[in-house]
Amino acid sequence: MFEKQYKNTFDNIKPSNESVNHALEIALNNEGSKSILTVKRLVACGIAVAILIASVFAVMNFTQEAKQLDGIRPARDYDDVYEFISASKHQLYQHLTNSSMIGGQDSIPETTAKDVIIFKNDVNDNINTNDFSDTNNQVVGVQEADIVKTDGEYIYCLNLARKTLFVAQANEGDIAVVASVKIIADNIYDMLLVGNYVSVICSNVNKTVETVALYYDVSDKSKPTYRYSLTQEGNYVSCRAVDDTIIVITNKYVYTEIENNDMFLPKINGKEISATSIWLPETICSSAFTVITSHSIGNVGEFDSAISVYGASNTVYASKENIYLSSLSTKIASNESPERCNSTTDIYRITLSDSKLSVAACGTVDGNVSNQFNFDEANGFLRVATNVSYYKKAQNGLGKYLYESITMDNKVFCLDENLEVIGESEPVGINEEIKSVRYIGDVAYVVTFKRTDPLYAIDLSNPKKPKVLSELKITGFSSYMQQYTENYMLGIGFEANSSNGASTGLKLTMFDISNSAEIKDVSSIKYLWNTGYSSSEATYNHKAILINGRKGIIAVPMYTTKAQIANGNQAFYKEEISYTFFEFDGKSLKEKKNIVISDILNMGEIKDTFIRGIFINDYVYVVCCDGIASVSLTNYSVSNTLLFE
Amino acid sequence: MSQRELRNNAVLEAVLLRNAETVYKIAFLRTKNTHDAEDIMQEVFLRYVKKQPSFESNEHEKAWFIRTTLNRTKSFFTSAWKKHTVALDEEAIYVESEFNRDLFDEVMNLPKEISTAIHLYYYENMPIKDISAVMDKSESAVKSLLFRGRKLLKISLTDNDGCERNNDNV
Repeated sequence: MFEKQYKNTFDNIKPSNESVNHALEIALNNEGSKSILTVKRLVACGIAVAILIASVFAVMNFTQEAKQLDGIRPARDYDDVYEFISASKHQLYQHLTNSSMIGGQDSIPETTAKDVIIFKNDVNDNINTNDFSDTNNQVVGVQEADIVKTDGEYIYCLNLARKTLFVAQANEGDIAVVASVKIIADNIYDMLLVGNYVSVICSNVNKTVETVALYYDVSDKSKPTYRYSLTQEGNYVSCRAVDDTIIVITNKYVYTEIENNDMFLPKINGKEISATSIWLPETICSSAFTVITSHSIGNVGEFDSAISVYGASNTVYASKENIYLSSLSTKIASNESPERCNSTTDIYRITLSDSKLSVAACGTVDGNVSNQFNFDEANGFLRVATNVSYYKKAQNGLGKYLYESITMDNKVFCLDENLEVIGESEPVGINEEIKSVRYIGDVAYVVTFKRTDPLYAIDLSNPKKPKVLSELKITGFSSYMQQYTENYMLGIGFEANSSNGASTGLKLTMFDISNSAEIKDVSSIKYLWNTGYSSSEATYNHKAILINGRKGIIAVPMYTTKAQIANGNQAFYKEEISYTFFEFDGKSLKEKKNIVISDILNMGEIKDTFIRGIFINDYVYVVCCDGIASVSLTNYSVSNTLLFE
Repeated sequence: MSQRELRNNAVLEAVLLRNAETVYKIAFLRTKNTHDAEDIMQEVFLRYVKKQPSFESNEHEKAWFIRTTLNRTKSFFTSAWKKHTVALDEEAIYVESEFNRDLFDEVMNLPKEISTAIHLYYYENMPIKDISAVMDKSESAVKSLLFRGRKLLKISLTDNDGCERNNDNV
């Protein structure tokens, strides 16, 4: 009894995401240790979490002067920004709302609704008849960055452990490295492949953190050539590519008190951004400039447009025309109900038109979002699924305030192009939390979880009246869902003990969604943790999944550790990295083949666990930090391997 | 380049992330406020990145983090900064439904050595042998801390809470 109560109680004491991220950032960038304590203290005070979702819908003609927006305005000049930030620091200081429970990270799964997305590039005039996979993007036509890309003939691998970009030629299972380029940067994150250019996103730490996009011309595959770089201040948040336009989003934190004559505005290519392109929202959530830049290939060395919204944004959702930033804030008990408050999310819509960015709307919904899959834009409406927590304020024995959770529920909101809520679903999953969301057409599939997993289907065809169609209860929960074929949807997540909700293993489930009023759980496969521990990057990063209904491919990386008892009772662990193929025949989901990559490529000490799979014609190429293995789709045997030097 | 240098940030980050909660909870227990706990967490992270120790097992890794947190909180209490800083009297902790406030207040009001021992035993499920190693105390001293803690918290020994776990006779 005591042990259980104690554990439940102290489960609540956990660091906020923002403080963990900040600590990670400081530690990994290894900034001078002297000033850290002071800086950190100021930050701790200054932070109340914010996640902005910039928002945009249908293409709007918008000019800064011509239109007034509710809730947000462009800054008039430098002094205006300075006064705003000074006031906001004061306001945050007073509230000291430490947001221990608020989530909101971009590191989450996404999917494609359609089969293969062949990224169209205007620059590439090679006619490529190969059938190949792109990164598992959330929105068709909006490319997301990843560490492996392909153009159907060559595979580009950004090797984080070696800080090198490898270009490998793939031909019916044969693989050969044709070029490698060393990348010099403090941290390397991701890359995009746009036309004949590879854009590598990395960061350097001088006095502040700068995010740099390095552009390599790969028209001659054997000689990738560095052309130019674009820098913007702040920590890397996310990026997207739409056609040949690349959008990069960073957060520049304002840690300390600023002086009016400091250069405190974020710098773009070394110069401070103009004060009039900074947007100041009415409600302040966090002390950071979110910087959004656009650049089209061809405009060598120059940004097409750069704007900034004040308030840190972590969750970014982008459609082809709009970028949405979201920021989380907890509304402190208002005068009407001093005992009750709930979390809210501010959303900003930024339009992208001819590579020009402009803020078009700002709005607020109740609750928080966990990742980009909580958002979807269709027919000019934004749909957002949120988890709403209600708190009451109470004083504890130490003379400090506690916000005690009263209840929680989950809703799906429909917003118009001005980000006004026009309809919301009835609350689902009372006292449960959203684990994953997927929109397929006009239906939102929402997984909530406490001890068992209800999967709700919510009809959004009438945005004014979202309607709950059905509820399917199964054990465990999916942390990511993606459509497999027209009638089936795959869920990847965890099995859980239905009496206490503790996770007990990995689980993949196939759902029949042909009739959304009656979803069925067709088949599932489990990897329980009773013999060893297994995890998969696929449960939190959609880019790690290779799924294609037309070719019948379902493949995810797996990381397993098995305890091996040696030297008395001290347990040692053997790590294994594998790539697992599954097959689904309409009735049951089965493991087809488990390829132990760490044995095949003889990885020795495992340096990082990232694995990506892509297919070109009838071969899947599995890329890990030490090499590439090709797997034939006809018999699932390894046909060739290649080790990076 | 040595193997160690090749370990990239992603690996370091994974290690830090899986120990963040453990470190924070203990730091919070000992500093009794969120800001100081965040400071401590950051210092521990920094120390890990600077030293990059290698571990034999997951238990070993966790023990390193706990030990470092305890050491950091020790020097924290004596630092000049702490002596000249007045604690902020209002701050917020967000808690979910299964939070037992009476228990939390009682634990927070225990002397910090006792609450640390209680936390390591009941939350982190560490055997007494390991607690004595990370706290730099003899096993009998840890047993006595646990005994005093149980008495103060009025935990009934008849409900058999973990008393026989790992053959620890306390």
